[in-house]
Amino acid sequence: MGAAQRSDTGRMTATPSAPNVGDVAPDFTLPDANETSFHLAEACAKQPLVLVFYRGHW
Amino acid sequence: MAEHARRYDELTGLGFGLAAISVDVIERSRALAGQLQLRFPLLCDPGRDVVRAFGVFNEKEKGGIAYPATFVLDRERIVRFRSLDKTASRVDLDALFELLRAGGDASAPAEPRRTRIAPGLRGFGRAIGNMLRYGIKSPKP
Repeated sequence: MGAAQRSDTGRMTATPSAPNVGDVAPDFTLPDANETSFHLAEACAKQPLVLVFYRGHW
Repeated sequence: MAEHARRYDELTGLGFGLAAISVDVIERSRALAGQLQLRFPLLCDPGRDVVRAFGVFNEKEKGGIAYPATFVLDRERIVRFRSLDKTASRVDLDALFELLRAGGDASAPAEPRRTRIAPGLRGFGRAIGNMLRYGIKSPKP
């Protein structure tokens, strides 16, 4: 189910479905805030990419 | 996001692109992108599909949001570095930049320093403002 597992220290450890170092990341296409379509594979092909997940709602 | 925005030029100078993802709907992401004058895409995943696919779905909070996480992907979309962060901390950007300068590969330290998220007064004010404007929860998909 992909729920995060926590170690004894409370820090989030590897989730079952989070891609590991060396894995190919899941591809996706999502709209950005300007409703422009963003395709991960295309973006990566141009240059290496830092992909940041954030909580939102701030 | 504010710190990523401030250091965006540094990141592109190292040859990396940047994209950020949350479960926020487009209207909300647009507001944040405008407030912070972001020059990188804020991707909107209100269906939570991508957040789930990357294993960072936090279903317990606010109707289901993303855990803070950073992945560095190479041109073949292979993960060269990842940081899965607990709710109230995130990967330290200085540590991340050190990794990127070193090539961002797997030989780099697996656990970079972390810092507490301290949005400061402006960030806090913005958070409250957005909460009032858009509510606490994102609509369920």
